[in-house]
Amino acid sequence: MPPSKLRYGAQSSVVAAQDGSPSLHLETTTCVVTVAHSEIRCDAKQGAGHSIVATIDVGQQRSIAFSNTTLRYMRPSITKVVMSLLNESNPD
Amino acid sequence: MIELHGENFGPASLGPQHVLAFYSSAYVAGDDAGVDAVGAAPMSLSLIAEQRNAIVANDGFVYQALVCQVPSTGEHEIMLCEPSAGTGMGHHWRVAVAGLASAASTDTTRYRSPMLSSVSGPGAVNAPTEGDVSILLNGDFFGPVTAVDDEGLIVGTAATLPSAVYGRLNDTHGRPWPYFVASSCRVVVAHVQIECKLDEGSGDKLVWATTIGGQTSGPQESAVSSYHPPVISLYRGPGSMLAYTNGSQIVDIEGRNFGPIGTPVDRAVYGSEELDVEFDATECFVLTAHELVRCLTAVGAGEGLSWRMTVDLLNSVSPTTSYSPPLITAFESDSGSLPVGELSTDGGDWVLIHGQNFSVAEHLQEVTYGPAGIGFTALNCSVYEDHFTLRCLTVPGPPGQAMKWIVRVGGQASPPSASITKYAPPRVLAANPISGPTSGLVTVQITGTNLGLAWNPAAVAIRFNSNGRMDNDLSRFLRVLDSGGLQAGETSGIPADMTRYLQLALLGGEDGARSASAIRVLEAAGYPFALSAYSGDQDAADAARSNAEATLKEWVAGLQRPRVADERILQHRGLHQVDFVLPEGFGTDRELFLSIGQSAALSNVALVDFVAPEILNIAPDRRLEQFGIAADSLDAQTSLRLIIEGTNFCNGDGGCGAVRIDGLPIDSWSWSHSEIVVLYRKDPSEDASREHTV
Repeated sequence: MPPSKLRYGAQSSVVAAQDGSPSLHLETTTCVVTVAHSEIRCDAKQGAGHSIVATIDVGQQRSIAFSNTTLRYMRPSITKVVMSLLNESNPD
Repeated sequence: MIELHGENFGPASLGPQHVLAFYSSAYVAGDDAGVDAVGAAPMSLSLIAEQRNAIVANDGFVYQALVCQVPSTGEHEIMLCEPSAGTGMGHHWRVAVAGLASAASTDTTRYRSPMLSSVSGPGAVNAPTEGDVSILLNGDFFGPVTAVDDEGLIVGTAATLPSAVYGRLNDTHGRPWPYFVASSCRVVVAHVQIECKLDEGSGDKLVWATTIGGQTSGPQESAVSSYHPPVISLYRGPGSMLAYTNGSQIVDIEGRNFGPIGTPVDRAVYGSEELDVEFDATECFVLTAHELVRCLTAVGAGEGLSWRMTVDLLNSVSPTTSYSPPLITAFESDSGSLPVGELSTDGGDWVLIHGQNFSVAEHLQEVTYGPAGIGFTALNCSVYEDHFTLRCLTVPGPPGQAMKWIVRVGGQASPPSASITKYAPPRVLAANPISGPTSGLVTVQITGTNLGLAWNPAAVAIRFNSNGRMDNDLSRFLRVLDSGGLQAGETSGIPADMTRYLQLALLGGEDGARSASAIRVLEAAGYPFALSAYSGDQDAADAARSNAEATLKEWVAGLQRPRVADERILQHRGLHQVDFVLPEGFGTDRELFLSIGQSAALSNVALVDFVAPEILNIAPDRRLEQFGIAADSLDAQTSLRLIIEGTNFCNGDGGCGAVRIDGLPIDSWSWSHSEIVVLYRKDPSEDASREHTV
């Protein structure tokens, strides 16, 4: 069975729409073929963001980007805020 | 620094532009406005901006933290944020990580409560009872300067604008504290001074309090003001001349500072020291606000009777005459050719103050200056030309800040001068070394002028674009302007992004040279937007300036802030030195500049290079570890793990480097400043090129 690898990253257009700094940040992770020829399972790497599209490398061939369903990391949540008294001046 | 704890804050490698935090008293715990019902849509910055506007309109205010980062010691769970200058309490926090927003926190933060220490200015002592006179409230934690529009009208909401009240504690007339409400309050010197207009009123020992963002200073007995005592000038009415001895005739007492209608007239007596008689008038009250008190005469006799009154516990005084208060009209340097707009931050410059009514030496009391006319006291002041010119020596001060001056002569203070002086802006002369390894950790020595070390060494902060953040028209344009390379008629080098260029051109009301240089270029190039802004289209100019400020602020906030070494050296008057440890980074022409003081005076830009990468050795991995790939799935005949050793490879974060073999990018397994491990799937042919880019 050839090695397979998942490449995924944010669509540059989406990131650009957020903060004006276009970037295409690619991460790679390794995958295991769970159903021959039709299904692989991959572990996501640490990251953040949304509108993430994936491509798959099998052997030395790369798939086209799969953008019908995009991936996203979980939304952040705040559980605690420490140092509750702000010095009103910018501490510089 | 605020420490946020939670989940899904992302890895430490996220750049500051992807890690944002907002806080507001208008947020409600758990509030997730901006995220759709199933939570699938991210809260974009534009949505946040819309929400901010909505909240401002609803009398709230959303602050954005200046810069946030996820520390490597708390990836995904901790976010450190530097808050903006502000005021208020009950701020719930929301974060946006790579475009995904959190709900509002349950925990809240607050700014320090305002602290009031004193009052000063024309309204502090013996203010006219008509009010509408300026009074200055001095203290701390008042927040940033209040915005005013072109017509001088205060811009803001109840959530951000200061307010002030005052009155007598334990008033014998039974009036509650506070009894008077000041108007038109605004912060005029960031954090430390508020200006208000007095209400009409009366009395003395009036204790002040201020409220900002829902937090109050409480009454501060060190912050006390007074209205002027009543002044009697004329008597009218049937009881004022040849009155009946049986009394009960009307006497109208004209004068000033009798207070508004309803002001208690405690007592009115009249008599003659020569005759040794004194009579108590009855039923006295303020008939015309501030100007007229009416009383009834008592049973009595005699002539040459004069009146005294006590109004709201203040005894009347005789009419007085006065000299005009001093008035400052202009400044002139008396230290060689140094202009008064570029005074040394080390102090020691002689300044000539031109004006009127400065009197002669024996009546000169004090000369102060500062953003609102106080804060710094000039030294060795003397009358240079009787009545018209003073000469003073400056003290060390903050770079780049406009200073108004106040002269005190014979107990009278001039209004803060309309003309200003300025300490020179900070200027970096050299950085040494001007290049360093991508791993950083070398000490860089910055020498420059007017860094404010004699004023406040701790106010110096470094801003360093170590990773090429927004290496675009903005930073390039700053460089061009700082180099003085653009002149009228020159159009080469104007970036294609004219919007941002124009924004910068209109930026910098405080920095005439930079702005003027840009305007010359733009006008010469015939850009209508620039022309409209400078030919009366104030709305366009304001919008551009606002955008420019936001752009520049966002850019500066996202830069690295290397720690300044403890030792800051004032080598000699005029030449300063600060050291800092170079952080990790990569690339060339990285902008380095200084930000000094609360006004964040920015220096010119110096450029620092990181050393180019150098490959010292490439070798196959002989450890046979199949990093991340099952050993039996690797085709040993076609795949090769390579270890690239060398120097200045950068740290691998954020796509700072790339490896290409035969011109094609190749993924890396690990990356450090000195070693990169890549998997190459085919032995390069003999003539294959290998390219490594950082």
